[in-house]
Amino acid sequence: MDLDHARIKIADLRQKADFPFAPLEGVGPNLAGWGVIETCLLLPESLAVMAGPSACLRHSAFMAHARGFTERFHMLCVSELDMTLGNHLQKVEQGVLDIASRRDEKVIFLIVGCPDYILGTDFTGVINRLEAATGRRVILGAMAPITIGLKDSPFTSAYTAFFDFLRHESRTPDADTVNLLGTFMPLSDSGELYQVLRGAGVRRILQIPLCRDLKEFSAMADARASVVLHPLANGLNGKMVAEMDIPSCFAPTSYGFEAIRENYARIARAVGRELDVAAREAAAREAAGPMLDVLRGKSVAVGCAINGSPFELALFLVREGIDVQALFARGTIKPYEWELIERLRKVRPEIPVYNASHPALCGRTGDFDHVQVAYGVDAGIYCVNAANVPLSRYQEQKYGYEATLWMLERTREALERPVSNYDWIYGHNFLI
Amino acid sequence: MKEYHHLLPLATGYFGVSSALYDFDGLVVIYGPAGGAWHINIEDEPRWYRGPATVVGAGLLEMDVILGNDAKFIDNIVQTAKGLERRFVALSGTPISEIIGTDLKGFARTIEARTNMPVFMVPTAGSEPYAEGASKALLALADKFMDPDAPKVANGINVLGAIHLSTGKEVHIEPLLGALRTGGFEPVAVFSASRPGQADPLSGVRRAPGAAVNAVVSTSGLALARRMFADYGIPYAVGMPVGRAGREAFLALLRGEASASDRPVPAPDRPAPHRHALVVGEPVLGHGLRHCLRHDFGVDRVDVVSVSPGDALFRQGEGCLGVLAAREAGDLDTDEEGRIAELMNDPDVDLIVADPCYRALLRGRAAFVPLPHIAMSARIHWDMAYEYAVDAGYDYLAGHLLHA
Repeated sequence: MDLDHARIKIADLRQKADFPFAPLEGVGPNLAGWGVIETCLLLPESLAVMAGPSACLRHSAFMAHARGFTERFHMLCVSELDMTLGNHLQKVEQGVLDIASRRDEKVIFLIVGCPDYILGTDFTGVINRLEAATGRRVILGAMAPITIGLKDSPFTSAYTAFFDFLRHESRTPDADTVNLLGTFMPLSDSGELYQVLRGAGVRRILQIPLCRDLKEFSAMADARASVVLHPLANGLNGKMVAEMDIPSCFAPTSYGFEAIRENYARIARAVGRELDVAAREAAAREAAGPMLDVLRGKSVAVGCAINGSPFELALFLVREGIDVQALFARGTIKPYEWELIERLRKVRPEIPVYNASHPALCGRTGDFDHVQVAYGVDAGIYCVNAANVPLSRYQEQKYGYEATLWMLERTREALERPVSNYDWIYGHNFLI
Repeated sequence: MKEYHHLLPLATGYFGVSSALYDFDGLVVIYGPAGGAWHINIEDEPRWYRGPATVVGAGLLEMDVILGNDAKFIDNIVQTAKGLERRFVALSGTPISEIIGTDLKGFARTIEARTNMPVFMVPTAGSEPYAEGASKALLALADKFMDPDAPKVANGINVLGAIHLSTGKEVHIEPLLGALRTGGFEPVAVFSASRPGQADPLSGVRRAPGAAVNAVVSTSGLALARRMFADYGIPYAVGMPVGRAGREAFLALLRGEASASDRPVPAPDRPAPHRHALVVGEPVLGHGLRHCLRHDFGVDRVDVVSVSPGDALFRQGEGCLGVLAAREAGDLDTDEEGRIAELMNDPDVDLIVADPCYRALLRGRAAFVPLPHIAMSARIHWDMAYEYAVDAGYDYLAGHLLHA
């Protein structure tokens, strides 16, 4: 199978249908989500119980184990026959009751999988009885990859479900409070975004992974505005806008100076404050110069396993005179990325974009032997001679110009002291 | 209803299919939603890393299931199989194909007709033990590729059931293969691993009927052994020889000299380091470990918890030369976390041999010897240094039991 089946020039990538079709799914660490269980457990005082066939549970359990979430995660094994006959409802209900009797979390996420989704199992009665019996909130969620690309992803759905804990809050807008939505590893309170917002008088900055309890989480209802840093949070944010009238902006993690400047401008409008970032950009440009010099003349590939958009990072690198040789992406290109693709098309239309899950690509490492720096563990799989810079969403998180410099520092580090792609994936658990 | 909290649910049927077929240059299609094959490769098949597309997902979506877009998926599989020039195509079912009743057998016939490639389906769903999936896959492989007229190999031996979910990396069975050679046997085929230097990874499978005897080293090899006795008259012995005493006992079984329990065993020349051991894992290896702990180290009581069904081990059929295992009162077949935790924390138990994941269940002071079971911990402990087979296994255990 020719590699041409798996790639398209960016000049020709104008709509979703243009993206190379993978007749069957090859694999790689190129999924963009966080894992449903991990997402659910971002909510403080929550517990996740997943019910389904052992095979499905095993898949989810690995991710929970990799992220150290096992303490708040339980699994109930259900056979396909029981599900088909509807015999599992009573068993699942009893299983959740048993677990709840041993736990004191206030919220229980009951997560079911593709089989229940397809069968249309009605859990309403189970949920109502469980809530009545336990006095806890019980939220039904789905870990159903069968819905990929058709509906909100399971991760987005789980994150959106958090709205249930805000919808009943009375809103008293606090001009000095801002929500940051879409962080998994939280941004540091000593980092750039906090400094910029505090410099503009924002007193309280809320991120879900830093909320210690539901009370703290509920304070998000009072925020002056929300800043969405990852598309995963669009569903939750949409409800906060529509039903609570909380202004917001989408300002995703970016690496290019122009994109970052645009992000800050959007944030400024959303929070209603002027943000003084010009000096930061100047300083970042000066600090980035020598590090970008190191990259010039090197062949680079960018994958979709990075935190942020591969198209945005590629655009930045190309504009800085760096030779981007290949992009790796999945067919789930996000709406905001089409404009980035448009911009990239104008400056480097010949860059090939590979479908990272195309079976023709598996094992074809020889075609990328010339690549010297690969961003993202998915690109690192194919570019065997490259210094691999994961920029994983599971590493420490940076935002703004700090993210640019962090990315370049990590690049320098990878060139000087490379860590193998295998170790990033299997040693550091950068699996998606 | 089984509940898991600290443990991972064990690998199931289609993981076993993948494990059994992975090394033979085929295309294994997991007929389910996106993500199924992804997890198998990323988590359970570290052999996947930088390799060609071997286990791939159908990527079923909601509307495909509702509308039954079978023709589209048959086209996709045909296109990929032809494009990648693999040696065969295997279709394996998932909970979704099971629930909607996908006719994978019909798929296989259609795809075979359109590709002229060997194509077969392995009936799996999503809850059955992995060994069952592997067992079915090995039988299907035998049906498709074994040559009934393969030349006879005097003292030739096949190793059945050496799938990575049970026996780990191929390097871990090398000591066993070495012991077989030293014992006068010539390995013909290893199910499931291609042997070094073979241009056709299936050549061992094709030649397997020429062997004189089969060694079954995990439960997933039992059905194939029985089939090969029925079809080719090849007798078999069952066991994973762990340690020195195990090596001798198993070689004796293969030679048809005596059953394991009949042979006198010299007492170890040192006091036993422990009184009561609990072994948790694959049944054949579990019983092999008991043999070693008892005969090489003098541990008086060793209970075996088989986390996949072990009953078949004790149903000795025609052609069975012997089994390096015997059921004892303290043995149990269970993969239930709560029950295993109870057994591990029995105050009388002072030694546990199990996959490192089980350590999370241990609250007491029993010594713990980590022995990865890939069907439990997969990539998490794939690269760990450990051994179990014959003398290498003895050395590994001695390092923990005598020199800790």
